[in-house]
Amino acid sequence: MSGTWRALRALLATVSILVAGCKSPAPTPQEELIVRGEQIFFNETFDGNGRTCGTCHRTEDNFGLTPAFIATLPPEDPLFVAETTPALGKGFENPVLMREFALILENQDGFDDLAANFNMRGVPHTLGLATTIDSAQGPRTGWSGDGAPGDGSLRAFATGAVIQHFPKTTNRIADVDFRLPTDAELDALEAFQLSLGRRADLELPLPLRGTVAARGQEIFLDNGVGKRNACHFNAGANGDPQIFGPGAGNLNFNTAVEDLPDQPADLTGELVPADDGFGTPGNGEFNTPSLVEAADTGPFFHNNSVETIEGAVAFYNGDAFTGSPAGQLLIGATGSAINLEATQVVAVAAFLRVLNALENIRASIELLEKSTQRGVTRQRSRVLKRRATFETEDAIQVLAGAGLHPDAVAHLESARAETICALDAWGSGDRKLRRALAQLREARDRLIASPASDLARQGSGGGGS
Amino acid sequence: MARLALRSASLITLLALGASTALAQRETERYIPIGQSPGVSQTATIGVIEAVNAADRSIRVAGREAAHWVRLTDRTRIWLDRTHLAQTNLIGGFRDCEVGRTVEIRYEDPVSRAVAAWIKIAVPAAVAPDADVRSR
Repeated sequence: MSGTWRALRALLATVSILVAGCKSPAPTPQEELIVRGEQIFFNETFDGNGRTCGTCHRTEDNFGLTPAFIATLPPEDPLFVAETTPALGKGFENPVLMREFALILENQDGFDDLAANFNMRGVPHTLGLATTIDSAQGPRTGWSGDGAPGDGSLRAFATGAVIQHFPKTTNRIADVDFRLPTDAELDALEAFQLSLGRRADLELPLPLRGTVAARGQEIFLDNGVGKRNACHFNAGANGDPQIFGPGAGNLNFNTAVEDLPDQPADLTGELVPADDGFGTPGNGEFNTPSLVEAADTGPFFHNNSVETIEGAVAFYNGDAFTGSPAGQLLIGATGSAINLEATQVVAVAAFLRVLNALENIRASIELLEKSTQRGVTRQRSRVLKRRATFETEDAIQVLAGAGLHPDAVAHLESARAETICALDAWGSGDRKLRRALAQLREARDRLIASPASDLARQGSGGGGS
Repeated sequence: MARLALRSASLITLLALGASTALAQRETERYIPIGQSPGVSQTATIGVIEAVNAADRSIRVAGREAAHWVRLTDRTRIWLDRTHLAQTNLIGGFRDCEVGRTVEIRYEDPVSRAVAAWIKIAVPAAVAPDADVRSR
């Protein structure tokens, strides 16, 4: 009897050890914070007009907003509160410019004259913020680098966004028209935003396989021809430390985008006051955005004035930039203006498209791998897979949009199909995910000669979230 | 080669000069009630106006720290906080700096605490309607 009892106890002990071994590891506090931040980002209205952060920063649209996506939204979507809420009918948004050009009304220079004192700006994406907002002078948020109240940080930015975009009326009274985010909510929102996209800068040059993209990279890096690397070091959002000093980080410049003729929003006849950028009154400067994420996050510049990445590259050839304070500085320093021929413009754009596709692939792989980790709930796994699908679709679009790497596009199409199957599959869909991951890696190998492990490190910062 | 080096040096100097500092206008600050501005509690002062020197556009503020004089310049943003009255906050002026009023001050230089970058003044209920006629 005692022998049986001992055997039973031993069996129970073994089972309990096995069960303990199979238990999912608890998420880290940082992972919990990110998930909480994501929930707030997409669901919390702060007792305002119904908008959330995700109303304008759409997952499906690279955490930004485009006219094409707006066209898919139902009339009752909270983006359109100015059309559906009488108290917000005047001085809150311009529905014409919102629907046609995805422009959002901002009172950068104050709320004293809502009818005339405003700017119309695009929605900047929130990808790669971990590498793009720090500067020697402090954090730079928003299009002109000065979007946040309080200490000016990304954390504080959410408070300003609630006041600007979430109120029930333009009186903007706290605890009447909205509630302010709590400290805990600000912490979570910041953690979530910093988890999106890249967490480290690239190291150029990359061993690109594409002939045109490789030439575009050469032009980009040549300070005598493309002259792009000084302000977009390694195609990111920071200044070249050899020029601006170590830790210079993100910078503001006046490139005179505002001086472009025939700007789309102006052509409508709607009131579009000149945007004076940084400060009150502004000094005409705007923040340097990252280029790695550029190709799939157009339209371009603070006012969505240029639709294509080729057009954005060509902007620096034109009279507006050449005559701008930044353009004149560049001429003074290098002896000439930027003057790329059409083939060179296309080559630089091809380089940026390939960079963007590589980042899409990196992000997609990271998201899919994360979706299969132990401890990730089924619902969370589905969210991650869905985001991976969007990234893969973006890679397809930025490459196919310029006829680049059709072989890689074919692999990406397969990866997308497998990921969608995994989303709808019974069970974990692990086999489908493995096939999707294999296709993504095949696509990446068509774009770049670097060993996969090296490239996977680039951009991920070696950390996970 | 020397010419290239010269140009590089010029690029360094000129582009560095072209980069602006990151002081922000942060206009939404106006609608944040006293004491609730994110990330500024360590550097801002919340206190009561003890004295006013109109000639010097200065106020003496007593808060948790020792009472001290703070100057308001043309750059200083002045807001009237009426959140506690469930009314919209207004743009104010130096005349709104009255002895006895609660204020929150953020400084241009948090070390010297000599000049206010912005000041929020809590408006008592009795004077709120008067303030309403000012521009929003």
